[in-house]
Amino acid sequence: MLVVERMTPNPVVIAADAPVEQALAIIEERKVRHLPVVDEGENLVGVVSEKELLRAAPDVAVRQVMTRQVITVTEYTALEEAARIMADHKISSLPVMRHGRLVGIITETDLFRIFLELLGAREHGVRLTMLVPEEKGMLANLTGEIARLGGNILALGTFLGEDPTNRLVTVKVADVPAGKLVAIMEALGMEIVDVREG
Amino acid sequence: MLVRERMSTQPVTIVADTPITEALRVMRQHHVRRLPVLDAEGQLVGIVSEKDLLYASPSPATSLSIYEMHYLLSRLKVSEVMTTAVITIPPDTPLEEAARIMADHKIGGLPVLEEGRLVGIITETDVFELLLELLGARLKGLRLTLEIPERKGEMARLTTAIARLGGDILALGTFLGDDPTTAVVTVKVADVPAEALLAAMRDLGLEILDVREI
Repeated sequence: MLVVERMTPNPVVIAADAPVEQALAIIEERKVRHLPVVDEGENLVGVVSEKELLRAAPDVAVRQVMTRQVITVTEYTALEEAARIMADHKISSLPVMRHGRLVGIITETDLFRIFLELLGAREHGVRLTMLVPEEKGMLANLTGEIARLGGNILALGTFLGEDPTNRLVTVKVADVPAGKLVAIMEALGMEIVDVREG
Repeated sequence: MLVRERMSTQPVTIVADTPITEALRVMRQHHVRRLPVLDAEGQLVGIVSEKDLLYASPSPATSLSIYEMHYLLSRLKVSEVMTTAVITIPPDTPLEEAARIMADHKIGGLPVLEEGRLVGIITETDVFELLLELLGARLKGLRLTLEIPERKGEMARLTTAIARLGGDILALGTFLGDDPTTAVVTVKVADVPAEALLAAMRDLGLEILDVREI
């Protein structure tokens, strides 16, 4: 998954010389939390957040309150790389550039929706969380057994385990009864942490 | 993964009749963006975000003097600007369910209650860190994005082929595809040369959308 697949293309921008008041009006109307700031030549010169605007006087120019050191990504940046940059720099949006031109914006909210998709939050099935020994081929065993039972894997996510010898796997499966699924996983040597229908 | 495993326990809280200037100071001191609000008995009565407080503060352009402004702010209480209709969750809520509630209601944090008592808070930032983990953003390996048919057993074929090559799957995530007949899988693998892995994927008839070493 790349940034281009989930970014907002052609984002709303604000001119660097516009007053703070105007920027706040746009933020409210468009329901966004950040605006890329551009100069007369449409070049990106900064980013301004709702919070920075709220702390400023309404008649001041946006360029006075914006953040100038903007971190940007390209359309071909991996989504998790964009997420890592946001987490490491404690920022919640990244302008997306192509050959020095602004072509989009990707925000924490966009990535948040990906998390829902990754764990199948909007799909229904048996949701199983288990500790899986950290050995090559364990995921193959796990998915192979689910397939053998006629189950359809709706979502599968791997997390760090309790220590380096195991990892936590959450899987959502349709078309298999919960009891049967749990029995097979236990037989494979998985430690079941949580089972629920959702 | 349940909320219990990733929430902040013993969250910083504030009492409802605290002046908003004090609430802002507490937020800055603890580097948090929202505070659960308690009444004198310690019951949760609301939640207040930094933004609620900033919107309540008079604009720096008012004609009030700094003393008048400070006086007004010191009189305005958290209870007057907080959200009282608080959505809360129990600690055994799945994390993706907490994330779904935050996304659907456009809120950035949920107080966690157990038997009516505040035991933690879970925020967008906590979910975000989990997303990094899910996609192995901090691990190094060969990262493949594939389009796979939305059919039973496809995931098993994919992971079995990687295991057969001796590859170690560091992270694996499934996304919705372009239409209901396909899904997009991003997988990060260690200990397999790129060429062997790509050849195996092509043998399975999977469409390779992107390949990179990270």
